[in-house]
Amino acid sequence: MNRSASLHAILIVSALTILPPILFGIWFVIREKRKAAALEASAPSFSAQDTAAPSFRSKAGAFFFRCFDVSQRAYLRRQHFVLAGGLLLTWIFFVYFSSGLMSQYVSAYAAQQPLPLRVWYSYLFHISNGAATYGIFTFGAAGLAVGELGPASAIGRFLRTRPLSRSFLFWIRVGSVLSTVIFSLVLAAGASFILLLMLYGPVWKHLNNGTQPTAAFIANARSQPGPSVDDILESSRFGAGHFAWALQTSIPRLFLSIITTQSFFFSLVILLAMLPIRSGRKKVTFVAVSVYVFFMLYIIYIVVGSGVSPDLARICFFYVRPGPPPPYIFALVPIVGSAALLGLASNFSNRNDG
Amino acid sequence: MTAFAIQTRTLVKTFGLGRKQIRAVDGLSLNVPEGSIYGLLGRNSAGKTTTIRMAMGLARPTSGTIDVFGLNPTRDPERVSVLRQVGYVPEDKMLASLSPRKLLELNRSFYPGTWSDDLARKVVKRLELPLDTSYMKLSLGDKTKSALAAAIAQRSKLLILDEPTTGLDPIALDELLRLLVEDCTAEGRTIFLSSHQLAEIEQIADHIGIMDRGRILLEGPLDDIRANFHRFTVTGASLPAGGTAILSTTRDAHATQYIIQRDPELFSHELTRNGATILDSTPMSLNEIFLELCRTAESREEVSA
Amino acid sequence: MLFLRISASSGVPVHLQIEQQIKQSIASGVLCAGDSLPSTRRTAADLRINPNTVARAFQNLEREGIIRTVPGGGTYVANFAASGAGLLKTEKIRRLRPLVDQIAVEASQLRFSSEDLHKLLDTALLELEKARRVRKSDPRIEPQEGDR
Repeated sequence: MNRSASLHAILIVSALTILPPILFGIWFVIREKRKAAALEASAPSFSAQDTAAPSFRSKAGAFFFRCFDVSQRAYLRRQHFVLAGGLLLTWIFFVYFSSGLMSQYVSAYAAQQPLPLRVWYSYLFHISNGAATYGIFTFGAAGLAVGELGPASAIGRFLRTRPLSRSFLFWIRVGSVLSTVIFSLVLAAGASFILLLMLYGPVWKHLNNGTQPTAAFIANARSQPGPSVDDILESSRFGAGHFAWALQTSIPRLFLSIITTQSFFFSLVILLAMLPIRSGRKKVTFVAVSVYVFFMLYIIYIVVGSGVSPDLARICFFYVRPGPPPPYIFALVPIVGSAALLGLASNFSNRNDG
Repeated sequence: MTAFAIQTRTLVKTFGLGRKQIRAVDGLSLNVPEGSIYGLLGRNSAGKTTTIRMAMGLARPTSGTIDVFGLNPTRDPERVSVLRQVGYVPEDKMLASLSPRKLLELNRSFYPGTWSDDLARKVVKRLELPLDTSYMKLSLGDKTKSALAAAIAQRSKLLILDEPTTGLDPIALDELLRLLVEDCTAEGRTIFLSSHQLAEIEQIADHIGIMDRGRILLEGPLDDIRANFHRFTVTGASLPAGGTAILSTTRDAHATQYIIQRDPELFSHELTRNGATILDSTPMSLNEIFLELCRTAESREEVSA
Repeated sequence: MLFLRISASSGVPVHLQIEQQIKQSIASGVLCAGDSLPSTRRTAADLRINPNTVARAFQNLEREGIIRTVPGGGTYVANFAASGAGLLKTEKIRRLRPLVDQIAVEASQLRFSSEDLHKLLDTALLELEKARRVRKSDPRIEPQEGDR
């Protein structure tokens, strides 16, 4: 593969993910500073008009809020900050999911193969390959979720001395961040798929243009002595391999796997943060342990991804390279696992000294 | 039957394990009557803040019980009922890193039933709180004022103030006392404050508790305590050496000084009956009572250690 | 206007200080029968002291007949003559005895003679009378029943 093209591609992707948030951040900070300066200059007295109880924008909103008391509604309203973060996450995931569509990556694989195959393979490969990268953002989201729940946070202590139950604080906070992450993944997946359709059309319908070895050939090759069929497939400059894998990959399960894996990782980070370790040492321990866990997950990904332990990958619904997908039922494993970890974390959170 | 706003029974809170264990609260039995202004006095590591945190459900007792309005503040769902009725100013005044205006608006959304905008405006004006300064630029006194405004405007049944005078200049302090008396005591509301500022506590409290090393040394109505404590300077032949009413005795060449903690009239009659001469007899200020109690407790600890 | 000066740390119970100062004001003519007193809450806020303490002082004064509260609200200085006559001599002695004992102790410690002590007492009573007469003759103030 052309090295400078790949570097070029990486730079573009990085810029696309990092620049808009930075620009937005700068714009936001400037706006806040201007507002604060204006307020300080005019110094109006505290008045009731400033925040009349916000009326619900829709009947649905009013209905949803009905089951919560006043304090709980006040806490729920705070979570709209999370939605803003969700927009950012959606953009970042969208960029990563769509990176496979970039021409530098599409042309990286076996130029003699037809374009639809190359596009499809590149698309799938880059989506599945990014598990470790998505983990970084999931980790960040988990850290933000948990920041308010920890003993060191001033706003956290404020919230823990308002009439809200500890488990309400935990589940609403963690729940809204987790659902935002999942929703971002779903939106980003959909958007990248639409982008694929817009740029290249329904490529998965045109994968076979008659230049691929048939199933019969593959079956025959397996029974022959000599170089293994995999070597042959590999050696024909990824041609047949591409084809087989591209055919077998189930794109819904690919995205589902990303969602379940990230949710599981999210829950793990939350649990680590809620462990009852005394605050001073806790921060250091937490950072150290989570870096360690992250590293281990990355190793697992590489190990599993390179096919060493495909069974484990199947059971955990860990689907990180194009190829045969694990059955849907195994998606329950990380889902149940996440729920269990979060339940445990909630328990710790309720017991922790605020 | 007096109702108690806060009541603890042999409350214990320990941190750490084994030899390095700290007993922040060590068998505390505290009684704060409803409708009173209760001042909790104590030295810096007496355990006042830990006790308050337990009353606010921020820490769990190791053993013993604590009740706020008869409910347990350390377990949900009773904890939520407790927090509905309590306004709180923490020791480090870091309620939330918001400008005072934003803090008031945020707090108001949690207590719409009892919150009073008029009272908020009054507190802001009287304490001269700058509403729109960002949190980073606030001085310590301003942070205290901000926390006080948010808690007072809540008009809650119980106001728990942990060192509410931190960083306040004398004028702000005076205004705070006026506000507490004027607006926080009507309708049987209770104020519970912990402080080092004995002069201010002596002015507005009607009940006090003196705490040292996690325990209560003395508790009760302030008037009674002040009536019970007396300092006598005496000469004479057969002077009592000890007794339950005597807190401490200091002898020197010319006279003996007794600090009496109970029934001073009885004691003085006893003295005169036994032929002693009372050279001086003075009541004691809260500051003096506090110092004497703490010093005596300390010397008793040293003796027993 | 009630000009009271309270010292919380002097050792004298605050409610006693309030009672004594109000009695002092009445005795010296600053407060006359029928004058209104500010409410308990107002007084407490102005002095920065506990309202219960002020309430206790006012209750004691009312029990002694020095002030009276009207059911609708408001506290007033009572009719002095009426209240003074209502107390039995034994009650008056009971009230004055502790103060007199204290003076006796102080005087004997300072080696102050009984004669000088009596002279001191007469001077104090005379000054009170003079102050009351001054207020009486002041054309801005109407004569009250309480003044004699």
